[in-house]
Amino acid sequence: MNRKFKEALVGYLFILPMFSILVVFLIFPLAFTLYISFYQWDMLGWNMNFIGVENYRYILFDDALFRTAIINTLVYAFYIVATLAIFSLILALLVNSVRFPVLKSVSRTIFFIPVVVSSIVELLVWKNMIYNPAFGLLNAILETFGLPPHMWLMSHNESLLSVATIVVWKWVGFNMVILLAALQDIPAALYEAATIDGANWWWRFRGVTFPGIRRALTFIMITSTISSFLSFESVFLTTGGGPGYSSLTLGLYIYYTGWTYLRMGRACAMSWITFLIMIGFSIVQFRTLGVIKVEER
Amino acid sequence: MNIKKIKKRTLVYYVVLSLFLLFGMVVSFTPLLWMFLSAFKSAEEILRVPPTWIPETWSWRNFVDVLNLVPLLLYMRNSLIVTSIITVGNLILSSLAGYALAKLNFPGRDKIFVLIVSTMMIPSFLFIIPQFITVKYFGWLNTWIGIIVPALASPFNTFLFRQFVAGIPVELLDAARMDGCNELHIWWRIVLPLCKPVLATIGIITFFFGWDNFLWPFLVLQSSELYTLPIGLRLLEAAAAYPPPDYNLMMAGFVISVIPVLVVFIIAQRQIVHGITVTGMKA
Repeated sequence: MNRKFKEALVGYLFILPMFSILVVFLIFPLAFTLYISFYQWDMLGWNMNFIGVENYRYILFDDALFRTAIINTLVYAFYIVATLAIFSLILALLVNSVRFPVLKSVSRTIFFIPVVVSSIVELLVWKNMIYNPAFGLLNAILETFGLPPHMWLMSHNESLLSVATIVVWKWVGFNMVILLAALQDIPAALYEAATIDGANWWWRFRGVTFPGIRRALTFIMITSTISSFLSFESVFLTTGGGPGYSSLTLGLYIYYTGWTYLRMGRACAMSWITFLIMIGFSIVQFRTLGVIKVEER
Repeated sequence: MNIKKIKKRTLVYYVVLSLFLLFGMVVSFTPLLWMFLSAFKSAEEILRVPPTWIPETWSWRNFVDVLNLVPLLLYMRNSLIVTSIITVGNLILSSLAGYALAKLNFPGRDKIFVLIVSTMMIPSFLFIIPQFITVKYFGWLNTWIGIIVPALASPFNTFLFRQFVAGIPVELLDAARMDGCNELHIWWRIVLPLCKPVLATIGIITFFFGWDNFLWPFLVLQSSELYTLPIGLRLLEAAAAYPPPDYNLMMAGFVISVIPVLVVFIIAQRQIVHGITVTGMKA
């Protein structure tokens, strides 16, 4: 056995365990999803009906609920991405500029606690103890300011964004820490130079801060787009898509189509359509926000 | 005079900033504080309008009662076992693969690497239905194996390992080879010790995500004695909200389930924050 052959053999053996699991549980299923999407199938047996693109046609042209789910998901994702970016940026700038070291480190810990605590616990605490219209904390706070109570998760108009607010509350600390790391990497000399040149706060932000955190900002916007597009448990555990269909998102609709109504073919077709929409959005974000190389040269 | 004025202005500026920050901290902290306080209230007090902040009587009994309602400690134990196996197995498989992809030469290596990287960003709902069918076909439904095995391969972790191992100098490995070490030996004795920081980071992330994973165990597990914590928590919610509702017990159960995570976080805060953000940025 020569050395080269032996090295190749060892290489394949080292990759084999990880790669075989990847193939069996990810790559094969991915192809299988595409395959199933052309069939009508209830998963109870192996009796599958080939129906061509009927699933896709139905979803795109006849399915009013799918349209509701798309609109809800877009509203939900847009709200999460925008508020997360704004709040985490504000917090990062605040933490970065505060001069009291104790406050700085304590605040970072506090903002990070919701990130590490189980999201199931957090969703259920918000649902039962904070958004509850009868004895929840939020309505009690509104009342002390003399404001009218809301129905939150139980309202057609508020349910979707109430869920999204929980998600923003949870993840703001994570995004803040990422932006903070980027902020701290900006050399202080750049700010000094800008100040000497007479740049005011806004010009320093545009000329020094923003270019410095651009990559981090793109990153947090793309990850929050992807995760809010895929959101399942945040909606499932709080509203279940209700009241009515007011908080039905794509992830939830795929789940109900597949596991409640046992329409596996349609659920798989829906997954592919959702994936393509999501990819489209991520590309648009990359284009508008990402580090554009041409500009740098 | 002028300098004093500027100093006063900057001082006011910092105080205002700090107040904003404090407000943010209060908003961030209140929901979980509310959970802790509510866990000690009586079933009657928790429903009161307007709500009380500090419990009138601190009823520690809630923490005993909730364990009679739902076997939370069992679910925590289950989660600990399942997530630990996933984390350790995942670290072994992805570091082996990462080492091979970075340092061993074999035909098709780069193509395999590209394939692995390209599966990194694929959302789980795209393959979850066939994955479920595969697990069902293997007869792994309602078992922990059905949860553990699919989670052992992580393209993302493999990618991180490959990137890290690529930075280890080849001379070091060659020297070990001269001394007659085989590749398994090198991986265990040289590569893994050098990978300690990245092992810790990836281990923490994998553990956290596994600990919080809801959908997959929810689909796979049916018998309640096998439940992992996230599903157990949902069971607890349903049981406690059943009239007459015991929201205090629900909160007590949540507090019990949260405490281990909080303790770990407070002890290893620096590594956790650093780890989560570093892996986040590399993605």
